[in-house]
Amino acid sequence: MSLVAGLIAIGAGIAVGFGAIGSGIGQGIAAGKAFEAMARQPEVRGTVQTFLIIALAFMETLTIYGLVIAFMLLNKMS
Amino acid sequence: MFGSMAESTGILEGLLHPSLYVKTAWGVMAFLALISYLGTRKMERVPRGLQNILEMAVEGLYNFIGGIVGEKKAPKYFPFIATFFLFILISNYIGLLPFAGHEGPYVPPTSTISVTAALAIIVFLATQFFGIAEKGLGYFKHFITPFIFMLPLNILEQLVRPLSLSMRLYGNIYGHELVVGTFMGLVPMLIPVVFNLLGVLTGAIQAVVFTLLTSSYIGEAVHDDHH
Amino acid sequence: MHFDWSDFIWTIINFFVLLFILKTLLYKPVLKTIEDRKKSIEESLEKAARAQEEAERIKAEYDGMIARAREEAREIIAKAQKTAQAEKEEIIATAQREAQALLADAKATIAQEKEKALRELRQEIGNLAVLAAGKILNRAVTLEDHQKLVDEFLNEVKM
Repeated sequence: MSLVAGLIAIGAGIAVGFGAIGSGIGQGIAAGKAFEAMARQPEVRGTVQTFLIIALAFMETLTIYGLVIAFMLLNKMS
Repeated sequence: MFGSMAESTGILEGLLHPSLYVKTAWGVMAFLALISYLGTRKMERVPRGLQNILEMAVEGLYNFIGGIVGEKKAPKYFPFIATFFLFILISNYIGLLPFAGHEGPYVPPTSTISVTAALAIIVFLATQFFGIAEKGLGYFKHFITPFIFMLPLNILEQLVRPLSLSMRLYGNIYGHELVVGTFMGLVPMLIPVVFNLLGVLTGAIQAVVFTLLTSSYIGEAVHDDHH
Repeated sequence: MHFDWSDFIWTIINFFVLLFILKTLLYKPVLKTIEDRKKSIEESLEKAARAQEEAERIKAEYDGMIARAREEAREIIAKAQKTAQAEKEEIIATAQREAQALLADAKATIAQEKEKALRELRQEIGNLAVLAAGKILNRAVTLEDHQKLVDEFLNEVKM
């Protein structure tokens, strides 16, 4: 039982961790490109900012999916 | 996740004894109803105070939704979509109040999958309903475009939408709550303030994202392809 | 993570109740007010545009009127000047004519006077001549002689 619980805990950690890697890279690229765009054309700053935040939220969601899976796994543990 | 289906006898019991989520949702509704009533009680040509804020909010929402759904369809679908936004926004912000929590006097209704799943299912069913009401059987044409083999994929896409919609909202709000709770346990001073500020952003963004996606789903379903 | 069907059902009910509440209390009155305000602003703008148009029309009308009045005034002045010129010429002509008439008259009178004076002078000269002659003759000349002598003298002088 404790082995199963440990495996589940590892699985939960992996779910969040790997999920975070992908969206972290994605968010980094998106934010970098957005800053480049802002630097090149400061007059579109507001628009870029809005779309950046929405895009970041979508990427963030991928990590959140991992988090949800982790919750579900932790539920199984008890 | 849907394991509680077996406890079907518990459903009636649950309906008669609503949970903290439902009670908080009533609070959210009461709050929205109250400010709406106070703000629109005496409408004036020259707005001031609460009326001004409500007008700004409604007009901003209307333009946002109209920009996605389309100018022509906006009056018809605006109330439906805007209600999601207002309910989710206020619900998310419940989590920023002091003492909010699963044992506390109130808890964000959007921090449980049951509530967000219900909202997402409403969006899913409404999208199909509006699509059929607007275009009749022609609605199903876009399932088989560009060719018939896309049918399973398109159906899958439609079914995944409520799943991702509900998971996104629930995960963000509940996750945020969990993070704040954890840090509150570790460092009760200052750090939770930072996360609460982040929560202001998250709450608004998730409400916007939910509304944006709902608008685009409905807009896509009711869009005329005549031009 | 626990899925609760009663929460699920309650949320669906809540959503539609909230939709109804917000529709009646928020969306309808606010959108109506905004629409009304938009309409009234549009109306005012239209009215303003119409007033502007009207003003421009009236201005054009007045401009036309002023131009016409100015033209008329110029005509009147020109006419008046012409009339004045004619009158002036006439007055001058009349005056000249009168002056000439007066001059002629005066000349005639002068000539007449001169004639008369000359005649009287001759008479006087005759008288004096007779008197002088009488003195010279050292005797008084009778009245008839006197007259006769004068006449003779005058006749001589006239010659």
